Amino acid sequence: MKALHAGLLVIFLVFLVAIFAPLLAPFSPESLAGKPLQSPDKVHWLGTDRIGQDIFSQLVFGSRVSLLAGAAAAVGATLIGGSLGMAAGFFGGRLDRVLMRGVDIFIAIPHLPFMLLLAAHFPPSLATTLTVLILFSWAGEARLIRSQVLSLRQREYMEAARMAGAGKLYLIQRYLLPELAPLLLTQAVLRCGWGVLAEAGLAFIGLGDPTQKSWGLMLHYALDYQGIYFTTAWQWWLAPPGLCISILILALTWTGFAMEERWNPTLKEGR
Amino acid sequence: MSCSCEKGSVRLRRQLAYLAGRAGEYAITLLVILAINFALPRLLPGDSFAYITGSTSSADYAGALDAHSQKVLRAYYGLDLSLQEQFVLYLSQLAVGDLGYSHFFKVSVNQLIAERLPWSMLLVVTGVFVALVVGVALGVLSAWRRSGNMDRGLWALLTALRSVPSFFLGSLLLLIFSVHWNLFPLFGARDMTLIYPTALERMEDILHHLTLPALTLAMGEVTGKYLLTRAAMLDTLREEYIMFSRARGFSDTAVMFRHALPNALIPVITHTGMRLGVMMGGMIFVESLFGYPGMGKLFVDAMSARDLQVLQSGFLMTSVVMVVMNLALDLVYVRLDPRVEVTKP
Amino acid sequence: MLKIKNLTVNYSGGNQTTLALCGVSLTLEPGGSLGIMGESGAGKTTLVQAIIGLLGASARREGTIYIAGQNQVELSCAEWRRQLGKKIALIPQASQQVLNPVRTVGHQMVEHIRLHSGADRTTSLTLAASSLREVGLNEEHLQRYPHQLSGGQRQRAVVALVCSVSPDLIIADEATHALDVATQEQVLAYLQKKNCHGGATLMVIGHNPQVIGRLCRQVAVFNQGLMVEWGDTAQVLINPRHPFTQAMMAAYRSTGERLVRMTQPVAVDLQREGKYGNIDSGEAVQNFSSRTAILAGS
Repeated sequence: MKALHAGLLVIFLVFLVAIFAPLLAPFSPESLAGKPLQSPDKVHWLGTDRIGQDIFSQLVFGSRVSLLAGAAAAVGATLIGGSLGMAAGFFGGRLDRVLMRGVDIFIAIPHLPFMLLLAAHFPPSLATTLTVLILFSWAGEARLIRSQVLSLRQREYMEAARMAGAGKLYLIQRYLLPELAPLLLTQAVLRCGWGVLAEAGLAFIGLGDPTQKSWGLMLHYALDYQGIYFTTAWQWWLAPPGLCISILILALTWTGFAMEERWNPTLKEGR
Repeated sequence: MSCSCEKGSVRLRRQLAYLAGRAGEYAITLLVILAINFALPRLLPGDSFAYITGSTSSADYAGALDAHSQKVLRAYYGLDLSLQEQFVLYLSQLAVGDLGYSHFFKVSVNQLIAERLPWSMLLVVTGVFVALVVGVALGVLSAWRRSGNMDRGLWALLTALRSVPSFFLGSLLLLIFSVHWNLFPLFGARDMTLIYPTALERMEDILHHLTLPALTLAMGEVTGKYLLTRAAMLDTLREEYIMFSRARGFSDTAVMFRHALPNALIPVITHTGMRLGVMMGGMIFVESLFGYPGMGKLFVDAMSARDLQVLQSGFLMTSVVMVVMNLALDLVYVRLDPRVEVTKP
Repeated sequence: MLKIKNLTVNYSGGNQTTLALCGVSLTLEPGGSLGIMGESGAGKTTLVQAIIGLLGASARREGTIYIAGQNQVELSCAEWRRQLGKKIALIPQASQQVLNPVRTVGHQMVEHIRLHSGADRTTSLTLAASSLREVGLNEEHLQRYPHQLSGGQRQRAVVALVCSVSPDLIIADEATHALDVATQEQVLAYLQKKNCHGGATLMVIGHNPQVIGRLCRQVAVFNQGLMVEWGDTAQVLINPRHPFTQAMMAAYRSTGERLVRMTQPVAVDLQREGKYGNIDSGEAVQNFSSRTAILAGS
């Protein structure tokens, strides 16, 4: 349970930073607050980048984009994947076959090349990034929820309720959703980590919104700078955003795993 | 024993039927990708000619192309034809192996891909292989000593490793091994300034350049394989046939590797196939970070130049590579699990 | 062959301790046959696990177990394990699920035979095929994977696998459970042959008095971790002294009567045809008569 507490604490802290970003950041992330490539000092806690923007301020504001991306992926996957999976599992038959074949094909398509192809048609912006994340987030959930619904349907009390003449909607509300809630929540947390990673990845290869400083975009600019490995700049320009992404994803992963373990008794012995 | 031979051929036939079913699924996937490639530039609002030639608007290409060239290009892509006719034209061009012309690199896309694809294959196959071997080995180790300190340590380490984005991890590796210790080259797939006296030295140089990118790619995949192997091993070790193996006097090592592992490997192989699509993404990050001249680097360059022909064909060829690798994994799977004939594909 | 003295096993789970076996003492002469009867939870499985040395991690054991004069308790885990298969062999309870699903029956049999006899592949294959034939299967089944066999075939394949290396002590834990009567008799006859002519010592765990009566000269009855009765089969089953055994036999009579009546003619027919009855006819007849006595309600 230590993993769960540590994970939740980190997520909460990042959340606070994102909310109070304007209060915490000494500069606007876009303003040219100092000379280019300054080392950390009392004014610029993490120095400045190539054009003189304050790195610490970028880091603080970047948490907003990361959390937003994570939330978009989590909500999108839960809503789209959850409802498709539930529909496929609950109604079965042809709907199930068509949906699941669609999911199989969708999973078999290499996602990032597809994203790049899409991105060539749309200008990079935060909205584009979030749309793309939602668009690619749901397939795994749909499959997982479907198989869970299928196994829940076999349970005797579901069978009994159906025999007693319970309507489909009633069954879904009364029995399926409460049983699925832990799984949906766990998956949402893990998917959130995926969203953070995916946003950073898109920004890293140059698909990020250049006006919205995110951690991935910071890495993109840092690695774009030829001298990044050969000066001390990597210590305050490359490492902080990389560590922030890693720690946030780790916190989400551990939280997700810990929740999974708590709610799925068969996993107990595994850990 | 003549009877048993017949049984063997029945099994082979069923395996082939399974593989054919898988191939059919892959064919549908490829068709969907063809449809996406065809439809995206044509059905989105805006000037499809501008998309195809990589311009942002019609005013953009008007300056670069004279009226005659425009006409020739429009005819080449069949933009004046109806959508159905365009689709037939598109397919027939693909059928003769014509992937189009890159307006950015100024060569045919076929040539570009022929240059880049082998490097990507080398990188991805090595990455998959390393991730599989290391992930499975660590997973077995962890399951063997479950709940011990090593198990906990490995679990924490590998879940932490999974949380580090590959492009950040790779840059740290570059910093440590290439810049600080000067052990590996900073970028590229081979030393362009050298002329190799022997094939061996050539291979050595290629491996030298491959090490860090392949390692980075593998590190992103190793955690998934580790967690799955560990869980599958723990499940398998609880099976009755494992208890029975112990009760028959087999040593722990034999039980672990000869009896449990072949069963635990089955889900790992399935998982590897399902992760190939994600690995193609990892390949793009790794190649653009290490300046590795494969498909991934090509993708990123083509994207910043809005070279749609290259992006589309790259997307298609990456999918074809994935399908081929998936089929190879299916072959492994069919050999590993004799029950494949009872479960429908 | 087997000598158990004051064996006590308890399981500690959390903060409570469960007594599974309490002060059990037993002897089984070489070439002898002993049935272990009792309800589920009587300690039968724990006894088996204690003998093969594979008690769970939460178990605590006291007392001594001698096998072929060797004090097993003094052995290390690995040494104990090395005796399994040849010196002590177990036909496990859930024998339909104990074959490895991704290996052929032949592969698993040959692997087992080679481990315990060091024979080469060809010899092992021949031995495996002949063992299979003894339980009514044949060499064709060597090529099969477990899922390609029926449950009963799997069960018999396991018996053939375990017995193929001619173990000294065979522990059959519900070995014929859920088999149809004809195949059950085939397996029982094979076990009996191993016992009476192959020199194997036999220990049969079960709750079917017919099976025990057919195979065993002696019976021990367990109830809640205690051995409540131990003696000659005919005497224990027909004239049980302990109230628990009496109740058990009474329960068996009332529920089992119909079953016995149904199965009797088949068994008699098979025996008349001499398919298996001539292995040790004296014993078979004696067991047969004890069974009739049960049927008659004594």
